[in-house]
Amino acid sequence: MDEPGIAIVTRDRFLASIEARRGQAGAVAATIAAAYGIDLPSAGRWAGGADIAFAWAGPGEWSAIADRPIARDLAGRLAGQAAVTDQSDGWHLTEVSGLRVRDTLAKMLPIDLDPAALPPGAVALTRAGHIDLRLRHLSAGVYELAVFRSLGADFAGWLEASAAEFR
Amino acid sequence: MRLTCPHCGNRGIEEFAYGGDADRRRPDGEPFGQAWMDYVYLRRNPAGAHREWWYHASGCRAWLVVTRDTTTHVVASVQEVAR
Repeated sequence: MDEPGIAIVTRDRFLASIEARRGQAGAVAATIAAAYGIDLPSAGRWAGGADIAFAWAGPGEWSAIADRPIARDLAGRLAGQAAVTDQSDGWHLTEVSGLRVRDTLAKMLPIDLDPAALPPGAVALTRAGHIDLRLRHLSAGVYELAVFRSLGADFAGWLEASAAEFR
Repeated sequence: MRLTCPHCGNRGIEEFAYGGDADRRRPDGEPFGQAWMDYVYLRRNPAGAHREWWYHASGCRAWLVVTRDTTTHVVASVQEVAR
């Protein structure tokens, strides 16, 4: 079967925000590397896999994205080094792919989506219209889009309408 | 207008929020009077170089100091505020 023009899948993941305390970013990185074997990513990057990943979320901030509850484990390991907050209910996650995925996203996202500028492994903190959004380029042409859950229905409506011509 | 965020790269102005003149100084210690009136109400409106706060609201949420020419919109520098 041919690759579809666009495929949209809603994802359920467990999320936690990590905000390093002042001067503790190096200690946080060492703790994460020892516990999960993942080097915390620098600005505009994510690292890890489908079971657990860490995405850059701003200076000194990361988001953990996991297939199992993660916040309590992180909070225990990072006590005194970072503020950890469970965000699992706070975000609406969508995975989009397909031959026309970039044509679809370009209708609303104001950033350069060309793989030369935004390769797999990249994270972009930006907006879709007036909806703040975090984009992860998971693998070639496969993107994860995270928006605040209260805006998820509106965002899904825009995404479906924008993708309709590429089905 | 576009700004080059030190964390996120070159982005459109719609991602940023303007925070005003970066060279205003709060007259702490002064009794209420002309210094406070000037601080609260008076704004310079220079034709030329201007240092101003910008907040990367839809990006990394860093506060930046942008030096910009108000007559040409040429951005001379973008620096993150020391954390």
